[in-house]
Amino acid sequence: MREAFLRVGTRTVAALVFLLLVAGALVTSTESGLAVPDWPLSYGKVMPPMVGGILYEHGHRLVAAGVSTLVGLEFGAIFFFFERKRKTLKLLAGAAFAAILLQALLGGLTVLFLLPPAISSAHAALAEIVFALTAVVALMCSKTWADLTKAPPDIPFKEIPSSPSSSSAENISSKGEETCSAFRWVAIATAAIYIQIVLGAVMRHTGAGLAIPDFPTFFDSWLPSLSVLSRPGVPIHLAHRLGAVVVVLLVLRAAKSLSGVPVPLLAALGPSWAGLVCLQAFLGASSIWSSKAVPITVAHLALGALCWVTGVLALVCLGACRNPSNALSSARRA
Amino acid sequence: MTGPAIRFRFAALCAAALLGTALLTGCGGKDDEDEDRPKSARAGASKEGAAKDGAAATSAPAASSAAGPAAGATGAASITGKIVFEGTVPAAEKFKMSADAFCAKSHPGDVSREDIAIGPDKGLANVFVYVKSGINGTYPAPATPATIDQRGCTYHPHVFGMVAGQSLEILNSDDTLHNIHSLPEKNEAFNLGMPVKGMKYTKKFDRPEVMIRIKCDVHGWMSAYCGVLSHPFFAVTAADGTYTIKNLPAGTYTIEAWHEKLGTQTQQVTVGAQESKPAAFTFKAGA
Repeated sequence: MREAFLRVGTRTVAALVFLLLVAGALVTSTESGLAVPDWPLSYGKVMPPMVGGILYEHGHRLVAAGVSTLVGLEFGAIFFFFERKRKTLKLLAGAAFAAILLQALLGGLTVLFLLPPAISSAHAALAEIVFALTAVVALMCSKTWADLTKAPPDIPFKEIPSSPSSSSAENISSKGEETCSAFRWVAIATAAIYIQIVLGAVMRHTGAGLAIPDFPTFFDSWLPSLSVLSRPGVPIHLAHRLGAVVVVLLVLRAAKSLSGVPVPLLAALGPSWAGLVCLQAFLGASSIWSSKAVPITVAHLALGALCWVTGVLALVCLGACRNPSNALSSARRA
Repeated sequence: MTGPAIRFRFAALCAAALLGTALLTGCGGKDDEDEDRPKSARAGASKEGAAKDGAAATSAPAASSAAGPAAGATGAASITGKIVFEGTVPAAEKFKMSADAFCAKSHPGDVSREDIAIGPDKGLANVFVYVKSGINGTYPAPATPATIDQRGCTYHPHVFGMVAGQSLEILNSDDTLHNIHSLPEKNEAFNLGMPVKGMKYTKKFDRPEVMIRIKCDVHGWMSAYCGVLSHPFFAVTAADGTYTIKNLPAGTYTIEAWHEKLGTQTQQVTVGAQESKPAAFTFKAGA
């Protein structure tokens, strides 16, 4: 009962953090970030009239207040009532709470300092960390995690016979190598996604989203000229476009390596992840074709967050499988 | 050191700190009165705002008389002209003000954007025309403030000019809240909440800058442009596209015409004392 409550609660918190990200995307996409010029109050009130851009900005603040409280409660529940022995889980829940508090402070500062790109971009980058932390907490409270980290019932990993005649040992060893290889590729791809998200945040907050107004061409040319590169916003925009190519290639490679992992859930995750990233690239192009239509830019940001968290969750699961004893049990289950 | 002596020193330090704080507060008080303070002229601001609409958009070099030795000169010459739009008149982009019930009530139905306003005989309104170069000397900021009013969920005027250091009076004549957010590159930006009808703020732009965008983040369609110059020789075209830059001293000037969507154009004009010279501009879509 207690575990079920924790499972549902942590998943709900992670989903609400995602909702908070979408609310933040609505603020930037509708350019409502300064519709409320004061902070922490809004026009000196707790509840101003929800008109125009205030609906998005104050709505984001209200969602943030609610979600921050829930992240705090999650941390409290994990720390004091539920998971007395799981240090990592407690640490992650505490980090999520600390990060969301810092996030609130950055949100306030960016309003008070009129959206300086450095603070606004840091706000966007930290939001992804908060989402990842709450998602990992939810994963670590799930049945999937319990299965992944279950100790092998009989012999420890090091006692497995390593003679060439033992085909099962060879098979296990090969599966372990595939898991390690997948871990490396997923780690690289996930890091690339995060860098790409930060580049996107800087592009968005420096107003460079349409610095190159056409796609896939660059100012009606297939290769950007040097004179074009000196235009404001073009370098960061170009970096985000090139980053997208790198991310798609890396995720496709990581997805391929995931298919060899002896955990059915992770093996199945590869194609979904690759599909998400390809759709994300299409949304990026669509945001240019539509001159930054609000629904498309919001969807682009939301899907970017999902791609990132998918990578993080896959990485954490692979990390658990990479543990020799867990790898053995996973291989046996496979 | 004895206990009473320590207490005496502590008391003396506290007194000095209090005195210093009081002096600093006293020094800063005037600035607070001048800027950033909502004057909340609830009763009178609405009428005042309406009367002053467009006042800043017409150039007024009258305040440059009290000049020192390095003061720039004024004269009786003028540059006048008409700015026209050539080509097919683009269809005005329509939108609804439904995001705010007050605005929707002020403008029921579709509203046209103000960015390309073409009047009779294709005269182009809201073009900022100013002397870009050829002016020597310094000109003091006029004592009369420029005014921008938030009325009917639009800015009045949409394009205006002012002299660096001149006060800008910002009014809210609407019975809804606005924020007024300036986006300068050379001056200090501001973002002020104006939740009450009749509120008034006074701000300044200290450095010349052409142009500064002003926007309301609550109502995304609201935007205005302000040209800040070091001299008072500017004008904004009227609805029929005409303008006059008055009180120029004799000389050769580069005149620039700026439009928010159609870009800029320049011309050189030489005027003699008490002479009036024409300078017409033609803007084309996508030029």
